[in-house]
Amino acid sequence: MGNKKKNNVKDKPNVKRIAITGVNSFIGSNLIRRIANDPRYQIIAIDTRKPDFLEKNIKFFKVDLTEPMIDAAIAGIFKSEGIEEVVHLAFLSSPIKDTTISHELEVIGTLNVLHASTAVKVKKFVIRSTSMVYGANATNPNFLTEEHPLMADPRMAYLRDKIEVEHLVRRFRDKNPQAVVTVLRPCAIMGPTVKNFLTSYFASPLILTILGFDPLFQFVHEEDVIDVFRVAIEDNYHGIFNIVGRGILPFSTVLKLAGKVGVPIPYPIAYSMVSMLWSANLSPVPPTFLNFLKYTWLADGAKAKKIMKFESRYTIKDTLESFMGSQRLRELRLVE
Amino acid sequence: MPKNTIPALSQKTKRQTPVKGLTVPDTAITLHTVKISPHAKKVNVINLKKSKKAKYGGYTAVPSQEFSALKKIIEDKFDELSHSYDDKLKSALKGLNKNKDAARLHVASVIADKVKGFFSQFSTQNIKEQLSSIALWATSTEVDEFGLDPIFAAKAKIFFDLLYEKWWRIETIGIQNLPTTGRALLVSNHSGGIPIDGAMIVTSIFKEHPAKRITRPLVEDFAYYMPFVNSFLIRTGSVRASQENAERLLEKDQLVIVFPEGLKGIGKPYKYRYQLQRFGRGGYIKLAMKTRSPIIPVAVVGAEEAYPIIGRIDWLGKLFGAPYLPMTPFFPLLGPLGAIPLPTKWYIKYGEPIDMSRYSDEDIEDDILINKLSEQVRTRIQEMLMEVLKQRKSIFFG
Repeated sequence: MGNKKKNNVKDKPNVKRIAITGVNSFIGSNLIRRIANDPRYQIIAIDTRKPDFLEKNIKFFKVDLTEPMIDAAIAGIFKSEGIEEVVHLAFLSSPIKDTTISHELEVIGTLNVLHASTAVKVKKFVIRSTSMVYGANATNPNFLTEEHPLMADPRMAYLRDKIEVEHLVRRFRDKNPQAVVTVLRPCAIMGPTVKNFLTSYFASPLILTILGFDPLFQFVHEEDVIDVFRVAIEDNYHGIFNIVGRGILPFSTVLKLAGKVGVPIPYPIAYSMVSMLWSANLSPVPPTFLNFLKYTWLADGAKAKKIMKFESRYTIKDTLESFMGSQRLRELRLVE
Repeated sequence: MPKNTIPALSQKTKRQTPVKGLTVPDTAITLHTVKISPHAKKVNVINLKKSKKAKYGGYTAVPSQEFSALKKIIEDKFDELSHSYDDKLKSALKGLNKNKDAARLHVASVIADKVKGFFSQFSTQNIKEQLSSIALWATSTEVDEFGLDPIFAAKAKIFFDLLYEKWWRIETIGIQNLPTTGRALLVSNHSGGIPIDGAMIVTSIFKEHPAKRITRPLVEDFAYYMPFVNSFLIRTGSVRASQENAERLLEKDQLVIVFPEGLKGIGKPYKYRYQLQRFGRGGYIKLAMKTRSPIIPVAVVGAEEAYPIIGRIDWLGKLFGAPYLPMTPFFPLLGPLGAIPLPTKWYIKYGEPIDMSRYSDEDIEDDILINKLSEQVRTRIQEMLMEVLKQRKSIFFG
């Protein structure tokens, strides 16, 4: 039955065969729900754990991207399924303490997927990155374009891995001129259902801020991010794109609009405080992330607007409001 | 006074939430002796005494029994009252002693208001509102793309206006050289330990120019490492000096000020005043060529004496994230008082625009040409400085 179906699909020239890795991730799970019933696509899902929301027409492959020699296995899957396009979403949404594991998953995992993609000569490769890779530096221009060097503090293992992934993808792009390589760099993702280090930072009523610093902030709504991935699958957009929401606000105003009380602490004290909390598992991020509360790191979404015709449907206030609304329900235990 | 008194009732509260449809002056009626029996379901007003002072009566209430009972009764009564509130009160106000029922109702309702008002200040909602109104003081919920906050900037402007008009009595020369619309790159000399000359140029253009244009000064990197200074600069419209930022501003047809002397200008000792330092590496010329913006030379006279630098303390400056702390005859000798700049008389002179549109894109790569043009602009500003200095008779009186 499965074989027959597969062959049927292979015969149809207008059906794109897409592999999505990391379907349990926030973007992966939402994206696959959106496009599962689209007749234009035939999708296979890859992750370490089978999600319960998968439709019957989606084939699932249990693959651990960090295993040795897994690249050949993935290439085998791609070949047998006739995969033409790969959407790589198997990334961590928040930093974890064990930097070895995160390095294995993010860098080595991506390397394996890239090896397999090169082996089957995919037509398209879509990958998720983040605008945090530019880093928060005092010398940043107000708007960081896609050409800006990736200057995130190398002490941040989480971002060091992300930057390494970007370099791997660039090499892949040079090696595979036939492939459309889309790198999407969304800024801080916020919304009613997404869970990452930012939403857990915003969950508490008292928010740590750095005394004397008030950078400009931007968010992108989760719906927009899912949408832009859908668009990237639908059409071909070669290159790197910053994905940002509409509007910017000073961090202090963000807190006030969210009804939070900022607790300003001098940077050196905050640094040692957060490093203690991080080692006690009480902080969602290591102290090196505090730079993102000191300096402005706004990404410029002009390129995505011009080429992908992507324009966020949500202003920064809408995004905050939707997050806060669900936050209130969560506090009352009305939603999970 | 009985034991169980309501604090709000026993004192004359000055501030009181006004009741709808009622315009009794706060002091007109003071409640004096209202006794509540715990078993009674309605409020008994006993011993209404007329005060001599107040026109409408002047009664004071002293509650005699438990406070919770009172509160409950009053709250029950309150809803009932509020329906016929206006009519009854009107009659109550006409003649309090004639219509005793109305007087009672009135007094009861005032008690109810006071009790309600007293408790409502402690409601979480009210506290939250109070806190957020304090927190949002002097900030708006909209900023422009470089972080300029119009409400904050307006507050800061009051202070800058004061400096402009009263402290330095700034005179502007040649404001007509600035365009009413469209982009322009202003190039100025830089001075003064605390680089406040940028803010003064911004104030001068906003005040004197007929189009009331907003100018964006480009600020050196070091300010962005300094706590408080960085957020103040961003909110008031300064932009970090970088090619990308300046280009973006000029493409939006804004006025941009650059100080090509940079840090060397701010920190130059008093004996080198009005001697322009090297003008960077000509980045601003490339910028003007690329964006086809005219260059307007600006000479600021007076600022270089406002903060006469006789030395630098590097290690102290590093503590605050600044490259150095300027030393003047008064600072740090006189402490914070010594940091006040001297009230010199200032002149800001705007020169004629230098057209840059005749240069092509290839010229941007011509480093020798760039250097030559930069030197020409520098000479022009130096000449302008000398012209103003020649006419000036006194540092403090102009």
